[in-house]
Amino acid sequence: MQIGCCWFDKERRLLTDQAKSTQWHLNDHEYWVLEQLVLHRGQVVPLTTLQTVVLDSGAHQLPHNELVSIIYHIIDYLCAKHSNLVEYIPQQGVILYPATQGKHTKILDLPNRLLSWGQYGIIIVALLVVLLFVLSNLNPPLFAKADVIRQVLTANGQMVQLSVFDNQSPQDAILHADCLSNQLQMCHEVRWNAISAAISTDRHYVSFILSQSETQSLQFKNIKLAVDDMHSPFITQEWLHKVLICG
Amino acid sequence: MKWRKRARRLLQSKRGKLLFVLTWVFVLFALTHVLEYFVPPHQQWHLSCRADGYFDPQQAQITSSVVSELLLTFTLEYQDAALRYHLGNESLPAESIVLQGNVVKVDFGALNYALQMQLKSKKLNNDSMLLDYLLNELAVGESQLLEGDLLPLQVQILNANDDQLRATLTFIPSNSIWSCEIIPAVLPQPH
Repeated sequence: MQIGCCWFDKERRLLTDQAKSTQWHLNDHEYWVLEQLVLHRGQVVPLTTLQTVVLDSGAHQLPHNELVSIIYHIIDYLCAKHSNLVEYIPQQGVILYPATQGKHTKILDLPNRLLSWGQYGIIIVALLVVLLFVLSNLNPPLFAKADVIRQVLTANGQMVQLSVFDNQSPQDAILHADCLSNQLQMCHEVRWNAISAAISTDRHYVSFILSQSETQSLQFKNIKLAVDDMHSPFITQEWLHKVLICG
Repeated sequence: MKWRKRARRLLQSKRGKLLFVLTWVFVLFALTHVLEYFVPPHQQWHLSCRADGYFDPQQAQITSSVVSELLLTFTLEYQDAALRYHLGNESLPAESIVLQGNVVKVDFGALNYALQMQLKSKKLNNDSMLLDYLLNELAVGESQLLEGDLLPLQVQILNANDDQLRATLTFIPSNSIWSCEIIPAVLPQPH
């Protein structure tokens, strides 16, 4: 008879794993235990029943630890693919379930196996709809992330956070970020500890926001600058001093 | 007691559990929807912004260019919006432009406002620096602005810091940014 993926040959006392092509010749004790399980398939066989081995020659008691090791051996042999085919309940007994139950894939192989693929799909679709609904209501802020971010260390050891926003040309953003950070490094003293620069879409203006967080308050300053040629650097030391970025 | 037993049996069945999960998904769905209506929409903004403007076109004289003071007041009250620009410097008469309009669409997730603005009043010099600047910031054509066409405009209010004192105002698509002071919406009126 078939148990899981094994064929149980009662005549030859042989358990054959067809998938792995391995065989297990059962000895008297092992055969006794497995036969009891098969005879009471679907029921819990008490340990006391299993311990009382009845052979042709007569009955005798099986030591408890030997019985347990036989049970685990059977579980190992039978259950590689069919989990929960045999269940050992300590101090109570052993049950061989009538049918293999682990036919589903692993994700559904939870203790109670409640969901079919269809129901699982319905839940996934419902969750996706909710997610899409939430996402459609929460657009990420367009300006959340600068295109170029630099940490500039000035001559006197001050750290300035530089962020450049440019929705048109990353090359320009990098060019001006480099230019500004080089010039800032040469400043003796920078009055601000965060500088944001946004390059306008039509390439003619740059907006700067300077901010300085002090212990008590935040200070801010806006600068608007008209630029003729955005593709070449325009920030100089003189300009930084003039607009009071450097002082 | 009977209905309780029946409910328990339903919950233990496959279909019942599925129904339970779906009900919860639906409840959460409805709850977020309802919450969105009850959360006080931040539909009142009074932003006061000030910038140093360096608008001389000659790039060679970037260091000798005149500094102008550019002021922007952004007001948004429920359906009405207004933008007031004022530009002044030492050498030229002051210029100003006022745009008024209404709010077309609000995206609360990003505090993104789609507006439709129209020129209300203007005071401009010849070769106006303010006008050039505004054509860039509002991303419109000169004739559109001056002839009083309806101008679609999108602004985003960001980084309103914890104490609600300052916010960053971004014009889309021109990529122009302002750091503005938030004026409390309800000011006690002096009598």
